[in-house]
Amino acid sequence: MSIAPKIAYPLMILLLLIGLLGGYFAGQATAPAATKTVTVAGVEVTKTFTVTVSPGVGLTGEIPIGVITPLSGPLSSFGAQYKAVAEALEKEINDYLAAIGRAWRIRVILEDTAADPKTCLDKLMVLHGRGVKVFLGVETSSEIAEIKSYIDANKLLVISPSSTSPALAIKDMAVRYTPNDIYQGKAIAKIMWSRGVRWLAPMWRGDAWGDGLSDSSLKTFREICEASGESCGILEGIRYDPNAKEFSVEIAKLNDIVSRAIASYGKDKVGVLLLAFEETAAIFSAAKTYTNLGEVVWQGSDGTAGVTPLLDPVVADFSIKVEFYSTLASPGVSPKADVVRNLIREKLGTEAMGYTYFFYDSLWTAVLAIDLAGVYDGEAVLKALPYVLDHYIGASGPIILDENGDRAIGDYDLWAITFKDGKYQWEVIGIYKSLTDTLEYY
Amino acid sequence: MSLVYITTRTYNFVLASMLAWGFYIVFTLTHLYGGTPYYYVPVAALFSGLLGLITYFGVNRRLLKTKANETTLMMSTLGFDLILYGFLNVFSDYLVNVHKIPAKFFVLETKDITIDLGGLQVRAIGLVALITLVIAVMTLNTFLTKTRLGIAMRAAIENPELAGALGINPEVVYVLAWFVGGLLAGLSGGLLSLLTVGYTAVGMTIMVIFFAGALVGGIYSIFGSLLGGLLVGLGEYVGVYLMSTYIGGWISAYRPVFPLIIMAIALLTLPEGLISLPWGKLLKVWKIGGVKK
Repeated sequence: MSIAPKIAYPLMILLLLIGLLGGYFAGQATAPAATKTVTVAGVEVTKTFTVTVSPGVGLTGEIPIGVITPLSGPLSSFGAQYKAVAEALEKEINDYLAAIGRAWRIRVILEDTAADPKTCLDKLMVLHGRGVKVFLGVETSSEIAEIKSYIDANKLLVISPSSTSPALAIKDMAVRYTPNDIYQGKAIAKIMWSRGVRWLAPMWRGDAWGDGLSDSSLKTFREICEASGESCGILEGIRYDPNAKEFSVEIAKLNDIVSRAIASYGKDKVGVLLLAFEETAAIFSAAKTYTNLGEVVWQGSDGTAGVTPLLDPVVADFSIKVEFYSTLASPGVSPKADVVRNLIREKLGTEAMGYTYFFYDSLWTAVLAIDLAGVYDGEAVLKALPYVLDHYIGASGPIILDENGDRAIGDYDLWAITFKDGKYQWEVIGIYKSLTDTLEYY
Repeated sequence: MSLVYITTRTYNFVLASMLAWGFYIVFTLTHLYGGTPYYYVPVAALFSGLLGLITYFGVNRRLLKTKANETTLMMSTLGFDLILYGFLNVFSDYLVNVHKIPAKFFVLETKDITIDLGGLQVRAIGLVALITLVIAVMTLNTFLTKTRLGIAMRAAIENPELAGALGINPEVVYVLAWFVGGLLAGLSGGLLSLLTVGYTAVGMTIMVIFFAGALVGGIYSIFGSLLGGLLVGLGEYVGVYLMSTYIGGWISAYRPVFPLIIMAIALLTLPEGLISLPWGKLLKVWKIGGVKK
């Protein structure tokens, strides 16, 4: 009596395993290779893929897609545009899925992260608990760094339209549709040098994004400087608290640095590199009371291109005075770009920012990859994504990813505030082309 | 914070939301009706004063009557603060969605007036905040020492039972303390809108520094809190500026730590705050020193 269960339980487990394995291989052998046609409604290309589809694993009902993005906080200008795109695309995509006879629909769930890494992780975990396995709109590298281990452990796919830190160029569950900051750093250094800056005073956010971009920008500037043989260099930098809301101390210090440099090298040779977000308006408000800070040129980055608070006349004036140019990954030339441009103009009355085009593409390609995978699973969708991208030309043109899942080539638009028709506005005034290492003004 | 604590034994964390509401009242009215934000600071102060009354009658009064302990009183203010914070988020969403005002993150300091002092450009908030501080302290001091109600208030603070026996109604004192506490929070929130960027959690962030100031100075004393606030503020700004000059610009990234370091040192060396120092003797020594010179 006491021996029977000892034999029976292993036997039962063995039979169960044999059954499972037998069933799996029988299914593989008998399943036909199905041809799946993916008609990309949101893009210009219609392509036929041949993929193996497991029978009976169809998608039905509503599939939730999480858009966790800064609807408030220092990057809310970006979040507002993503929200507008997500709301418009939800209907468009569902119409498309209905038109091609799919039994599933998407439901976009928007959550505000305020660009705060901890809030981002909290929102992601809550949505994961509600069945979300694909996340879009994660804005900053600090947020990606915070959620990285969780998404890797739980096989959740994240497609960021804007995370750029070189430190996150890792093969993982986070895919980034914008080039990393090694490209942007080169562009910024090249642009500043071509603007005549020989002595550079950097000021940057002390977070993953700011540290990464300042490292790559300053490294390239130093290389250009050393190769030139001219009198040039990098002045003392100010790394500020990313949660700072008031900048009187930092700006007083920056004024000391710039004033000394002007006295030594002349104002035409000195420039300020500011790597910040929307708090730039507060920084400019403090800086405009110092004469010397208004005498040198300033350079920004993707954190400041197109942000709304800088259009306030008081700081917009300063921005124009110091020729504050900001780089932003260029969406390239694509017929679909007009769709995004018009959508944002119609809904928000502003110009679409580069990352908005990337976000538009992230939502479309995520849906196409889910459809291609035939199963709502982060890992399966990640595997299907390269096949979709091979044949996809979206609002930001073709998307080529490198081995780490980051966009491989980076051209950068040069954004500046201009005063036209009685009002301040953001305008693209030039482009930096990474392949040719050239800067063109329009 | 000190005013409410010494009257009702309550660490008033609702001040965070009162301050944030003051901040948003100034921002909203400036956006809707234009003009300089200074016009709307008194409105913000009155609104937050009303929030103080709502907090007292809605939460604190009932708990005081049941003789709730300090921890319960403090936790109740934390809970009520979260409720007011929630309403502020609803209000900011309303501004964004209905009025298309960028109320989630904004910079109002660009609306400040710049004064030309012999070629030196100075923002008005620096002077206005200083003058407001002096007026507020002098008014509070005059009220507490010269007016009948103020003297009654101090009596009720010292000994509520005795004050009651002498015909002083402690209820009036509590109401007044909550109203004035809210009023000052709204006033500081309104003025802060011209100094820092705005967002709904602004009160929670700044509250840490306020609390540090009150503890450093001595939470049992209004003048001690003022002294502590000055020390913490100067420590953060002047200290960081000097350290960034002599050590390097990287120190700026650690600026928020400075008020907390000052608070930790003060609590370790002077647990009752700066006000516990023998100021009479110190001033006397200083005075004698002056005579010797």
